[in-house]
Amino acid sequence: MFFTSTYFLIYLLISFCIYWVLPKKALIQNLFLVFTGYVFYCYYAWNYVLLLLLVTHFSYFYSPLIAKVQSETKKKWMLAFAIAVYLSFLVYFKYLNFFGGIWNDLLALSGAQPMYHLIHLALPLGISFYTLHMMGYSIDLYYETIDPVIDYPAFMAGAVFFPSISSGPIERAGHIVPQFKATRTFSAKLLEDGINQVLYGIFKKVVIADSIGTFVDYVYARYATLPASAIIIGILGYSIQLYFDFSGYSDIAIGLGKLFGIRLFTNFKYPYFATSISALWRRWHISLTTWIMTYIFNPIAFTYRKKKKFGIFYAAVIAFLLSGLWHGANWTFVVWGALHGCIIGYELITVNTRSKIAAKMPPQIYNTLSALLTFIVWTLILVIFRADSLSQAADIYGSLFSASGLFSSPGFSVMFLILALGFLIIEWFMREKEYGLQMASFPIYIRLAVYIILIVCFVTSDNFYHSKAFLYFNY
Amino acid sequence: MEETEIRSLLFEIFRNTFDYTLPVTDDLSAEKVEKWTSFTHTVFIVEIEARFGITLSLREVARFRNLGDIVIAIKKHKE
Repeated sequence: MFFTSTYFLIYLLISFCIYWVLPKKALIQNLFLVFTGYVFYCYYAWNYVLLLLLVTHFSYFYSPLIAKVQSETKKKWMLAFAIAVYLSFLVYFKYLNFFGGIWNDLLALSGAQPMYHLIHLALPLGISFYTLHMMGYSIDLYYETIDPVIDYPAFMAGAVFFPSISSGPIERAGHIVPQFKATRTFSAKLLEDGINQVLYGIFKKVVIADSIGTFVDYVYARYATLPASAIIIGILGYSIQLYFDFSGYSDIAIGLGKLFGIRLFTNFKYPYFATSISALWRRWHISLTTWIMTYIFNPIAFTYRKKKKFGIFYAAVIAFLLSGLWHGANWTFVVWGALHGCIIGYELITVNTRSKIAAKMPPQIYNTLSALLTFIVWTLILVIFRADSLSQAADIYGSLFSASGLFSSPGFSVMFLILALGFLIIEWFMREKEYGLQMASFPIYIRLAVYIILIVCFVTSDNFYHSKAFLYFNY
Repeated sequence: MEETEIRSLLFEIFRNTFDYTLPVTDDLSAEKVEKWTSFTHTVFIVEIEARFGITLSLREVARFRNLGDIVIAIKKHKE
């Protein structure tokens, strides 16, 4: 994980010090952040820096033309062209083999020879994230919900801001650019909050997620020979690992943003306390969900609004299917996304029935049962998300229901899973806060003690020196 | 149709759609109302169109930030 590498810490320290001793002018601060953004990107993915330049500059120079045009038809065509350009980059680097494979399968069905030869391309760092950021800007200008950004350094500083360039949160020009247009002044309070959030994020990732990941990998590799108890713990473990991994990353990114006086999009709001799948999605990877809802779901639902609930159902299935595809070029993601779309559609159609059931039960019991059921459904469907293929997912489900040894020892330590569940309980009590360990209102001696415990925990963890990449770096 | 009439009918539709019992004001937005989600928003728009006898465009809907924006849009359609 590059956020805990020595090079990154040196880079961060130098960038932070220079940033705050520079003259307090937005232009200078932004030029410096553009510079640090490109230094960061070149260090980790220099071979794709031209692609980043191309996408961000295309968005900056072309998108305002969409807003300028008066003719509605011309506007539509110009937006269609912009979307085609953004998608062409994504398709080329992320989906070419996937669609080529489908094409070959179709040819094979008709008895023809495969025509597409697989090519091996590394996924450019952050392409799925910055492409959506840039595409959102073009669509916002089409809808005229924001004004074109004239301030080039402010736009670019937001586009290549190093804390979020690799895996989000996916920003929106309307949210990020105004912050870069304003001059940032140093705030000790924001700095401490940022450091606090970064430390908590590293702890979630290094101590919890990576530790759980070890036995999750083991279970997913050997599920056929393991007892039912191990498979259940492996499936549950992945659900917990994914949350602590990605929300940990998001805490680090948002915390780093605060060190530079920038507030990035909130990405998680305690999703595992949600009482329905649709509510869970409003709390999980919020920057992606709001993007999908704004630019995919809303236009489709609006177009089919006369069909009422069925129009909304249709829009939900399409939106989540595409959300699944965004996660990766594999049928597992497509099916995972489509299933979520169907469940959300089902929840919409049954909202009145469920309200009637809720009215007959004490709210605390109903909410607890709903949250538990939501978590179980989410976790079971995540098997498809984690599996390498649909057939492997089917095998795991098969093993889960056919394996014996429900109460036998899983054969590995579950200490970190218990620790994670303990942290979920802490998060329950902190659920009104921005993140699970926000302690601004706590006395200084408690804050210091927690910082020391967190640092000792992750520095003494083996994972700190051999940390795995964030799971969402693959998407 | 007067602005006060529009506001009164819109607020009634709003209360019914979202089972909202607290005071309704122009600056009320989706962030402040738990049940006001992308899904229920579509139902709300359909109800507005039916009750006011208007057809909104996607661009108008995309620009709504709060109830006050919706009042202005309906007023434009009714002029």
